[in-house]
Parts: sequence; structure tokens; C-alpha cells
Amino acid sequence: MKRFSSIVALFVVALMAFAGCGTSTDDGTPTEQTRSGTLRVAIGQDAPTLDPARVTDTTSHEVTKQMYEGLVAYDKELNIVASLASSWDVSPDGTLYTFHLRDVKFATGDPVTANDVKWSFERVLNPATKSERTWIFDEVAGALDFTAGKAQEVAGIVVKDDKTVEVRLTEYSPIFLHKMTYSAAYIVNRKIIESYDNNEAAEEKTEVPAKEGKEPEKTESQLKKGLWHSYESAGTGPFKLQEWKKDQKVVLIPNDNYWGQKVMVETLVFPVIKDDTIRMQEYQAGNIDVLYPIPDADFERVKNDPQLSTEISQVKDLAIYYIGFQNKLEPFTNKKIRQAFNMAVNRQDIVDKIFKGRHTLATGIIPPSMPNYKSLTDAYPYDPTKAKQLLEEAIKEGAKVPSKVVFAFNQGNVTHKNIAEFIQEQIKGNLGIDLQLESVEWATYLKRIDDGAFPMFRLGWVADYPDPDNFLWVLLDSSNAGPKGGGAFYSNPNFDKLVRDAKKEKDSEKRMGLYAEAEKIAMEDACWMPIVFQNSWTLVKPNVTGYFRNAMGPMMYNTVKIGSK
Amino acid sequence: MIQYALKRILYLIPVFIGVTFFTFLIFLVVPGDPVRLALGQHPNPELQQKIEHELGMDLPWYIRYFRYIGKAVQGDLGTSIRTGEPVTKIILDRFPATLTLTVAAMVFAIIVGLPAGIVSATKQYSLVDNTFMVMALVGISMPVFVLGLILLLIFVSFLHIVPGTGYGDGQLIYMLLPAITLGTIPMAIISRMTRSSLLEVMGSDYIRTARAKGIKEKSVVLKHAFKNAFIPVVTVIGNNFASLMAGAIITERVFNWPGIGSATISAIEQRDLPVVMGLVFFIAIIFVIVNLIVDISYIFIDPRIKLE
Repeated sequence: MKRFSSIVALFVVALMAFAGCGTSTDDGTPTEQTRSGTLRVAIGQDAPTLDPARVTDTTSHEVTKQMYEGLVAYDKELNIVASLASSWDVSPDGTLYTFHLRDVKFATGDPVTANDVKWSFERVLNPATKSERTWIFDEVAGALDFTAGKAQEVAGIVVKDDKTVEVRLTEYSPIFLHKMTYSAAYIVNRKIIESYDNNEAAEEKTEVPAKEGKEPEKTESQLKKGLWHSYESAGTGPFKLQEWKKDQKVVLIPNDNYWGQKVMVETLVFPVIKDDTIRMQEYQAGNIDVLYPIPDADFERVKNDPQLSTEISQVKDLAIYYIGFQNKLEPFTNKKIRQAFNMAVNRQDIVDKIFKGRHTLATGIIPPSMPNYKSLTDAYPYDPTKAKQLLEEAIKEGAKVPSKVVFAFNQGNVTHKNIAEFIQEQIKGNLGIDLQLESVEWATYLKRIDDGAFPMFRLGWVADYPDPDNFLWVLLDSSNAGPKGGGAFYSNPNFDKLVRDAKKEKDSEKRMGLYAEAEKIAMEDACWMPIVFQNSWTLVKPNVTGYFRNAMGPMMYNTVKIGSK
Repeated sequence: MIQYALKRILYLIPVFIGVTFFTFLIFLVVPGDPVRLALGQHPNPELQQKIEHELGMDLPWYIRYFRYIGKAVQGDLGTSIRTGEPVTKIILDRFPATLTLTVAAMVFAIIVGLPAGIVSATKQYSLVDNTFMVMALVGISMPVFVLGLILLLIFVSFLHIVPGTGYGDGQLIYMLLPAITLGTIPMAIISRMTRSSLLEVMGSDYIRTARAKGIKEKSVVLKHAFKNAFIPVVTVIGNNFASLMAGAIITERVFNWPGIGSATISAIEQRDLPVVMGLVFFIAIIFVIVNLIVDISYIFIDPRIKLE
């Protein structure tokens, strides 16, 4: 059995305590007296929900992350590290995880036990919760039966004692721990959630004798039905919910029962500012401390502003912007034509002229910020002569090129349109092929890509978890062609074999090697035309220290300190 | 009068059917599947089907429509696809902000517009008159979002008089700029209407008689002329009040004001049909009710008017 030493975790905690000692008491943790300031982090839309089980969007994830924790979490370099579990063991076949829980309390003061873990996971799987993330437990033994109502509990989640919980998988999964970092895998306080459920149950029972005209109260609590998270938080994280004013702001205050580094600000506010221009203006007026992301329209101005340019930081996202070829439609059934398209477009020009340097030229499918991964690929060079030659060869070999090729992009974003027009011009100029541009509404657009209707389309992909599997398997494995992710309908048995072998490989280094080989094949096949690896840019006020964001979002804000301006 | 009011309230039924039906139709025609939008790029097809079934989206549109109407008349406007919140709660939460903003904007429009109109009328073609009328023209012509951004730039970014956008904790200072922005167009209309209406009355015989009697000019204008000139102004105020209620959408977006308007935009962007239907319906009701109140108020202002 492989045992993760808790010494490392202890060391980290000790280091964190040291880091905060400037404003600390004797035991290294800030008290209410030493906390100062309000951290204001703008959000572009209100969080649709603060119930971790139902979180699917980045805003809700960012906010809930401050109030809840899972068994494991990501560190700054995107490694999986201990969180509510102080350590965990994995059986040699990789199907049995034993998590040892830390001695911690919920914000309410109730201790966190193994029963809470089981209850939290089963709550997500219970159809009544209406979670859209039940699939993160798909490999857990008995999870599907429980959701289908065939079992009273999830057989694969076993409480061994108060502080130990076992999770059994039906098969080895290299991404199981990644999924345990999702909001849906956060551990919640049963007491709080059930108190809302019980009130409702009680109220329904007393509905008949309610004669004394208490209508308003009933309406009030009926309106709260299922919305406990609008009024309270039920987690262990560094912050807890103070108030959530819909469409206005979410206000969090420090959780004094938090086990890790204590919070150094008095309040954390997420003001909802929907308009890009206004958000930028509010940042400049000093009304918000953190602005993420910098609106595209303001990027150049901010970069050239002597003051603002010192407040920028770059986040290398695990994200790609690409032009997909429908590999089963003419003319992209032919590899040489796909390669010719790749060589006929000067993508560096797109980076410089359209993106104005915001993003980096894509040299493959997997972004370089992927942890522990070394890519073997390079971008296709811009070589119109070679491109033309490849096209002619393909035609000689019998490839058919329609007189017009449809190139679709989604409506509502001028950048997509500019890129499409640029590519249209280059393909016409360098290959003599007419691209017919078509702009389509987003939901319809996705549906038509799923159906394989467009020969050429633009898409982006942001990783769900930092593992090459999330790019290569999801987007390009032939079994996922169509709605599951593979709009390119790419199919190469050698590629599939490597990606599928990697899924079973337990040695991390070997796994990464298999993915690198697979990526090389996909690039050689020119399954897409990769355009850029995306970066996002954050503005942080100079008096704010300790803010950090990586490709999977911001870290917890307990490390953030607000100094004098 | 009660009969009249009741009759007008009964008009709400066809309004309700019309408004909900057309909103529903528009959503049927406009592309964009709300479930797909909520589930993202690669949804689990089973999950998508399940949610669509729960929302009744697999049923023919007319059945969905009648179901909606059936529930709505019982006070159930459904729940948001995106947040799971009941639509009635969304309306109750957001409406106070819209109402306060509208009242503040109207107060601003009247306080500034009426005196400006009176001064302009009494000092016709003077520098003051010309200045006010040019300002009124600019006020009517300038798009709300442009005015809002200019005010923000001046008062928030440069002068730091106003703390910023949003609702704050209900402090009046946060209301200042959105109220001015929203109130500028009605202010301009009111001042122009007051001016023209007053000018018309000032030319009438009874004013000449009043002047001939030696009554002071101030009294002639405010006591004799203004009373009659006020009737068309009230119509303008009333009509504008109703459209302000419904039209605060852009102002609310620019100033981050958490009212019905900004909720409507968000719901449309997210194709959250139950929320859009509920909000549009609510706005329609408010529109009709405010207009009814304005109509009834005529009886008190001008006894010559009888409601039949």
C-alpha cells in the first residue's frame, strides 16, 4: 500500500502559519483584531447557485471554493494535495481509496466525520438534489444503482470509523482524484441542509390546521424551499456566508473554525458587475481589488498604461482555441488537405493582429501549462508553397474539393468573425478554395457540430481537470465522436490505442509518455488547425498581496492580505 | 368610477394572454436551447433528456403554454431553469429596487423639468429659455447608456463624489446617478411640455384679463396659467412613469442596479424562459395599472373629464 505521509501536510501547514506571522498572535493565526480590510473580487454574473452539489459554472465554483473543501485539492502547481483528508492510501490495483480525515470542524463547530463524507457524496447522487455532476462518481461501486433507486446506499462508500472512509471503484481511474476536487465532491454539513428540509416537512404537515392567518410566514419559507445555500453555508472552508443579495453581491466572513491558515481580511465581497466596461471603470475608481479577466477591449490600453501595466498578472490557462475539421466530410477526409490548410494560414498573424498578443501560438493540442507533461509536437509552419503542393498531390490522388466549403462560427463575438474572415482570405489566396462563412447561434451551433454538419468550425476547450486525458480522450478518441466531444469525428486506431492504454496505466511518467505519442499522431494527422493556447489576465491592486490564480481558478483567499494604499 | 376601474382591471385578462402568448412564441422561434446552454459543450445526453422531460420540453408547445397559464393563474409562475429559484421570489426580491429607482427618477424629472419649463415659457426666446431647451433636446436625444457612462466617468472616476455602481446598502448616494440617467429623458419631455402648454395658456383671454386686473405676473403664471397648463403635463408624467418602470433595463445594467430590468436581461441571455415570461408579464401588469391610476387621476385634476 502506498501511504502518503502526513508529515508533508504538517510541513505545509507550518509554512503557511509562518507566512502569516506578520499579523498573527502567538500561535501564528490572525485574530479578529489583526484582520483588516475588505477584499472585493468582481464577478461578471451572479452565481447561479452556492450549493456545491449543483455548481457547474466557474463563478459559483470560485465562490463556493472559499466556503467548502473536498477530501483533496490542487496546489499552486496543480498537484493534488491533501485537504479534508490528511492522507490517503490506494490499493495496488488502484481501485480502493482509503481516506484518513483531518480532525476538523464545520463552520458551525460540528466535527467532520466519515459519515459526513458518505452523506455528502450520496446527496449528490440522490436524484432529488438535481445535481448535474453525478457523473463524477460514475466509477464508484454502487453509485449508478443508488441513483437509479436500486439501492439504499452507495455500496462502494464505506465508513470504517469516525475518521476513515473507503471508496471502492469498479475499475482503475487515473482521474478519480481530479474529480474529487470538483465542487460537487465538497463535504457539506448535513445538519444545516436537513434543518431546512425538516422545516419544510413540518410545515407541510401543519398546513391543514393553519387557520390563524399566518400566510406570510408560510409563503416566506415556501419560497426558501431547496434554497438553504442562499441563506447559510455548510462547509469547512476559510470563509462562511454572511449574506447573498441576488444580483448584487455575495458577502463572506472568516470562519473561525477553519483548520488551515486563518483569514487575514475582515470581509470578502464578490460584487456582481455584469458590464465589462463598468467592471473596468470600477477597478480604476478603486472600488474593486481584483478584476478577472481583463476585458478583451481594454487589454491593449491596460498593457500600455504606466500604472495599470504594473498590476497585471498572466494566467496560462489550460485552454485552446482551434479550428476543427470534420474528418468525415469532404474535403477533410484527406490528410494532405488538412495539412495544407494548416500550412496555408499564418497563425502568428492571428496572435499578433487579432489577439494583440493576449494568447500564445498553439504548438499542439495540449497546452504547455499541463502539469508534468512534455509535448513532442510543434506548430505547422506557415508555408503557402508547400500547402499548395500538398493540395495538388491530394487532388491527383483523387481527393474531391467542393467549390465552396462551409466554415461556421458562433454568433455574438467579433473575434470569432475576424478570425474566420482572416482564414477565409488566406485559404482563398494560398489554396484558391472558397470558404463560405456561416455564423450560428451558440446552442444550435453546438448541436450541429455534434451532428457533424459543418466541414469546418471554430471551438475552444477549457480543461475540466489538469490531465491530458481531458483533451485527447474527450475530444479526439473515436468512441467520443459526436455529442460526447469529438466534433472532428477524428478516428485513428493507433491514436485510440495509445489514449486507451494511458487510461489504464498507473505509472504517471509512462502515462504522460503515451499521451505525448498520441498527441504527435493527432498533429501529424492534422485533425484540427490549432490556433492559440489561451491566457487570461488579471488585475490586482498593488496593496493586495497573496492573491494567486492558476489554470483551475483562484486559490483560496485566506492567504490574501490587504495593506495600506 | 369603481365600475370603470373594474372594467380596466378586466382588460388585464387579454393583456395577460397576449403578453404571455407572444413571449412564448418569440422563445419558440428564437434559436437557443436553454438546457444545452446550461449544460455546456458536451452534455450527457441522458441527463439532457431527463432535464428536458422535467421541464416538459418534450411536449407540444400548446400543451406547455396551457400548462403555464394554468399554473400562472394560481400564482405559480414556475421556477428558474438556471437557479431553481421560484419566479415569484425573483420578482419580489427585485421589484423594490426598480420601484425606488423609478420614483427617484420621476422626482428628479419633475423637480428639474417643471421649473425649467415655467422659466422658459415666461422668458420665451431669452438666453435662459434657449439654454434650457437645448439641454432638453440633448437630454431627449442622448442614449441612456452614453449618459450613464459619462456620469460614471465624471462623478465616480474623476470627482469621487459617488462611491460607485450598485445598490450599496441602500444609501441614497448610490441612487443619485441612475436616477439622473433614467430621469433625464422624462425631465426633458416634461420641461418642453410645460413650456409649450404654458405658452398656449398664457395667450388666452382670461390671462389677459388677469393681467388687466393688475394681478402680479408671478401670481398670473403660477396661480392662473399653470393650473390649466398642468393637465397635459400630468398625462406626460403618467405615461412616462409607466414606461420608466418598464424601461429601466439599460440604466439598471449600466449602474449594476439589482432590479427587474437587469434580471430580465440576464434571463434573456440565459434563455431562462420561465423567468422571462414571469418578468415580462409582471412588467405588463405594472404598465396597465400605472396607466389606470393616471387615467383615474384626471377626474380629480380636471372635473370636465368624465369616465364613461
